[in-house]
Amino acid sequence: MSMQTNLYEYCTRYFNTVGATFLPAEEGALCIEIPRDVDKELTDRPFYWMWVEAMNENPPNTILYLTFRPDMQIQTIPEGVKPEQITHGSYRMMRIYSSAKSRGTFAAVYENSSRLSPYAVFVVKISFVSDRRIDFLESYAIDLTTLQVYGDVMDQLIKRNLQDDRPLRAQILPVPIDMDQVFSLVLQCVKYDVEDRDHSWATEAHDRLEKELAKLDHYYQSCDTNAENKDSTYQTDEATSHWSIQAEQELRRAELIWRTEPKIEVRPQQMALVYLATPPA
Amino acid sequence: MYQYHEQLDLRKQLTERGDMPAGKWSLFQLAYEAEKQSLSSSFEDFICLDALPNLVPFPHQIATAKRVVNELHGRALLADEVGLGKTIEVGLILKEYMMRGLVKKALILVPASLVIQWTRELNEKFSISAFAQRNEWSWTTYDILVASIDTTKRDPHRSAVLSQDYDIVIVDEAHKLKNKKTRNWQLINQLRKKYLLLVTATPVQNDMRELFNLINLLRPGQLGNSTTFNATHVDSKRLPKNPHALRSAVGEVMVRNRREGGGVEFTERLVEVVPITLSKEEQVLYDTVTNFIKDAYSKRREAKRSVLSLITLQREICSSSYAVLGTLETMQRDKRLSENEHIALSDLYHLAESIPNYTKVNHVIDLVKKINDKVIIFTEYRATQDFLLYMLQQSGIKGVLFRGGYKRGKKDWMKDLFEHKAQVLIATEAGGEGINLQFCNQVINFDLPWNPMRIEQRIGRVHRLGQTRPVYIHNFSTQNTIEEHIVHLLQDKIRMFEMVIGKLDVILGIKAFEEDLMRTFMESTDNAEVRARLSALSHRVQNSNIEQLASV
Repeated sequence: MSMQTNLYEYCTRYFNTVGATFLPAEEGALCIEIPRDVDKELTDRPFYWMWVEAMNENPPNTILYLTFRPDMQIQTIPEGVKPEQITHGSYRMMRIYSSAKSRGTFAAVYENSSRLSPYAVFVVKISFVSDRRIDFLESYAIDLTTLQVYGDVMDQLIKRNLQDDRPLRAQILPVPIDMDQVFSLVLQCVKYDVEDRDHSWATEAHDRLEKELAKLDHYYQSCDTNAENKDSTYQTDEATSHWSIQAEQELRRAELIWRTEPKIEVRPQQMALVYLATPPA
Repeated sequence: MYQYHEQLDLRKQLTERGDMPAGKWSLFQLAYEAEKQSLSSSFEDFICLDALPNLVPFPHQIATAKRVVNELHGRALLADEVGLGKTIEVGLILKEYMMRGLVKKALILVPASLVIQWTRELNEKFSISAFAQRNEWSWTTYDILVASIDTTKRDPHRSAVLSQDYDIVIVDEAHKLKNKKTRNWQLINQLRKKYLLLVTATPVQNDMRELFNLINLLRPGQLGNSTTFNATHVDSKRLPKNPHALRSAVGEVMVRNRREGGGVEFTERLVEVVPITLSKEEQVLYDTVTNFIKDAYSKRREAKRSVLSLITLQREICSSSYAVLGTLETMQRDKRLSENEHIALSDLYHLAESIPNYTKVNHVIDLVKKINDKVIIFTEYRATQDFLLYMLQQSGIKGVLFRGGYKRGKKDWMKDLFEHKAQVLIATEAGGEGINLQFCNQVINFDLPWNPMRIEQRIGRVHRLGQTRPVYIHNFSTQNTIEEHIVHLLQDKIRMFEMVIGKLDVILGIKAFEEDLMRTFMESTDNAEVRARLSALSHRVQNSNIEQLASV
């Protein structure tokens, strides 16, 4: 299964990056000893850590044994370690994802070249929400010297050879960065992009909302006239007397708007300062 | 056209840190990929299915979940017939909304006895961290909360719940909301919620208005107001005026999967009658007891006294002579008995005691040995149950007991013992909600209840989704006794064993059915009359089915 291979590959990269120690394991499985800071992010046990720190204990690092196939035969495993099957939705995988997200929010990287110019790279999540939801992940790079914006840059950047340390002989132009300006620039670009997209979903949701609201109002109106004509189940009923039909109508309307009204959420998720030899397009 | 929100958490984070931290490029990429993984990349796709590789839902369950999310916009009545896995559908919908970031706070209201089970299933099957409500603080402490509806509707819980907004409210056994004047209904009506799922196998129990009340919680006005609903849709209490119009109006808020038809594959049911001829002594006992009952029955009816103990006795004598002893003993203690009756009863007792051989029990032992696999034996009587266990153990067969009175933990334990240690489970009741015994495919009905619903419940424990083998049902039928007629009636006439529960909800007046049976047996003078009267009874049942099928 390619999905499971992807997970295996992802976890290997993750544990490599966070500085875990790889122990021998069966092929296709991972046995890793994780540093304490990573441990805290991958297992939810705050009280344990509180105790460890209060008592000045020094427990050995946790060892995880992760398998990526359900039918895995395990020959040797360190004592006291239980194998865990990793799937896309499993608890551990969720924690790994969220740990990666919080550790990878910001970055500063360099291309290996002698003349570099700085770019601010943004990853932005755009969500269309009504009673359902669709997300898009967009990436932008702003040339900090010219303020020119490039779209769809992550695909480009992944192909380049980027490094975390500044190359020794690199010339870097000092550029003052006005964060507010950079942010408003990227948000403006997102707004243009969003406007260009297909909005039939919003039209559909909007029309449906109007129709449903009309239907509600019509219903409650007919209940009202009914109530005037003869004794209504609502108003004569003792238990409901404090809960008027108007209150019910208001609540149903509010729920309907809450659920159906089309909304667009724009959320910048990650930001990197990237020094490149050539523009990312 | 739409609201536009910019969320600037990232900017805030930067301001708080003062300057930009220099993180690693590889982590930046990992974070980007993680973000991509959890994206809802289309409106229609179900992303939760990939996240739950250990759960393999049935096609109809996925279809239902998708329909609720994509077409019914998250407010729906889930009315699948019993045994089709409504819990799975609910779990899928909840998980999907959570993964899409549309639901954070959820309230799941279920009968008190199912709170733990729901909590467990959501955690285990769907990796949803749901908590069971324990006290007043639970309401605000946990995002996903499972609570008993009867607790919730009382203060202080009620006001705690009403003061919060819920992204989704789910109500299991929602037929408890059929009456608008109840506190249950009013609680759900007043809750502020975005999505709402009502779950019940029986949206209409007695009255069409129940359906109206349920649907009005979901989408007020869907069926018009109560006056127009009565005028356009209600013919009689239980019959819709225009089934097609009603079905299409209801279809916009309700999903109902049936057992038959549709993509739901059940394994085969193979029903077999095991005819048993009593030994001479047993036949004598049976005849004597039956004559005594007939005699006493007419006397008691004249005197307008209760015939309940007689009915019990008559049914027990079909089960085993052992089962009769207890009842005979109790009856002897009745002070209103005449001298003659007293003597008759004690004679009967001695006769029952002196039976040397138990034909029916011997048949069970032979059959269990022949099957050589897990078997569930059902009987109506505890005395028979104990006796069977004893006799099985005497022949070296391991068995465990299962009774209605057992607490949940003991039931689970007995189930585990049966699964791993014993060959036979001897049960007096169907086991109750959530006890699923799909690993077994052999059922012996040592005696049959006179209530068809209970028979279906018995079989339903074994013959449900997840059963991979054909299910064998062995019905014991003692010749020349009432039992022979009962088996014939239920199996051949009503075709009980081929029928499905959904249609059965309609054999209304189960109690009347049982009384009819008793009267038939007591008042008929010979076998021919019994047969004729039973055949009339079965016609009545069949007709009520047709009536039901015509409706929703």
